[in-house]
Amino acid sequence: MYKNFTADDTSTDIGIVTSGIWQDGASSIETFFSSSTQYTNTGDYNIDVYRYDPTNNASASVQFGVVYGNRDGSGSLGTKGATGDITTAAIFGQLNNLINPPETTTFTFQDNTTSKQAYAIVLNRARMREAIEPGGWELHLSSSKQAGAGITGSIIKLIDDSSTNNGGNSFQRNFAPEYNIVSGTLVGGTVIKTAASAEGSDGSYGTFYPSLGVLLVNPKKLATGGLGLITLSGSNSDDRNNRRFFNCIVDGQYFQMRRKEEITSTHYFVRAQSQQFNATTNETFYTQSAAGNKQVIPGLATDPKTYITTVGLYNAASELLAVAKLSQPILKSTSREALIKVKLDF
Amino acid sequence: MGFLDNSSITVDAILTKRGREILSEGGDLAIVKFALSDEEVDYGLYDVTHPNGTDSYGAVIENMSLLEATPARTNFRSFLVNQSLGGAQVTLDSLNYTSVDTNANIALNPSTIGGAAENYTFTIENTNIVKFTGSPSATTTTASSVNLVAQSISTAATTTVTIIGSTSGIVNVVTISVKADPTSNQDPTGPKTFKSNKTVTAGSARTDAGSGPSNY
Repeated sequence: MYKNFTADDTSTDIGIVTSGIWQDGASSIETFFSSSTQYTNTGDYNIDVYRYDPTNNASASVQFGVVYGNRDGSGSLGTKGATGDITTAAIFGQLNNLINPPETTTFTFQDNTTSKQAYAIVLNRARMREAIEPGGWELHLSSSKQAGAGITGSIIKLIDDSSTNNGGNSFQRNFAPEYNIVSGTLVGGTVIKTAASAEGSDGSYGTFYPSLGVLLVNPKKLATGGLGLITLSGSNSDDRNNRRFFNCIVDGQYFQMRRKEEITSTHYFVRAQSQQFNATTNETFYTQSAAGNKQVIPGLATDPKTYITTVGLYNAASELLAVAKLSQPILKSTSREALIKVKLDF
Repeated sequence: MGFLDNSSITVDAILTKRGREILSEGGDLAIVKFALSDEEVDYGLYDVTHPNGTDSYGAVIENMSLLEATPARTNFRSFLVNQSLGGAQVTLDSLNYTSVDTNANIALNPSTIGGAAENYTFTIENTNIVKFTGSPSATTTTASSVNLVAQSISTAATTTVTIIGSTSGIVNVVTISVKADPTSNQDPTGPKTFKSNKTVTAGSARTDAGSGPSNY
């Protein structure tokens, strides 16, 4: 009943699969919601962002988080000698510790090498799975509805520079590759409006870590680079800059992104040759006399035919390790051979 | 002139619970062989009186949609075999053991009628209810015969032992119902008392000696 595979019957390949990262498999979303419950409890640290409004949609799930970090704790409550969690300092330390090499206390955004603050978009791990596809995302930001003085900017469109920055930046980081976030669009083919190296002393719009699922955004560039988003930096002040950045995302009304996975597949070629597998242990294949003698049912006795519905893959100890089902039974007879390719993904 | 059908049969396989267990333990699946099954097919529907002729005799079977694969499988109910084994059957003294007392022994001694003598693969569905004597951690063993021992369980429960001829592929199933033991707190539907799903082959050394109670 078992048939051994030969060396020619198996092959393994690794394929890259990309798909929409957002809920329901969408590759772009235009609406963004936060949870009042989450924001009330931990909103000073991060804002969980949903595709659907969690207050009236039970299936709404977190898509990504938005944070603001400041090395000195500016923009959050607390300081030395005062109560408060200094949440922005905690966020800065978190990102700095994760991304930057030891003894580094600032972020580098191209020519701006001393940024002590950063916004970050952190993708939900389950949504991201393995990595974000470089060159597969575009984020629109708009500050048109921001409250406060000095808001003059219009919409900006951000992508990464992986299309021209092969292999990523060569700065020492804990995660590679690192790409720059630049102004541009994917519509009609990737177009970079201004390269990171041409952005001047304010630096690039940020850096992007596909394997980490983090977009690190440069606040200084958001203030001067067309968006006009002013990041508040009051001492011992609950400024909620992450909320202001979140509002820019809401107003931008567009976030496109794809995830990327490497899928290792093994293909098993199951060959049932003409003289094999033409009988079965299926009870309905036989009639049985009172004496217990089995006879193949009429119509199949002289011209035996069987049907394949299931393929079982076994190890040497005859343990059933994988099962493949066909969509419909396949006829097998002495005049028919069957070749079934069974794909097992890891 | 028409276009030839260029479709090929490609199917996706899913791992069984045993396959997942091997992966989770860092092992290699080491798939070396396959078997074909015709589960779900009722050959009684093969209609040799079909008015459309021989091509339509099996139409009812060929047009049916099959159930999806599920991971909770240890074997199939039927296998495709070569014609030399057609009509063979595996027989046992009894296929149904009821009201079995705790620690009672059950001997399963199958034989193949219409085929050559062979070993059999015995698979216990629930090892909380019965275990192999001498191999308490195994859910599957290959031998010409086995002895089982009923376990001490808090409520009466039933399990099956699937017996498959190693050569013929013929399947038979024994049902065993064990009585409750008032002194036991072992839930028969709870987690297995032995995590590992080791397979024991006739003549191989035991790998679980001394790991369980002494009354096997």
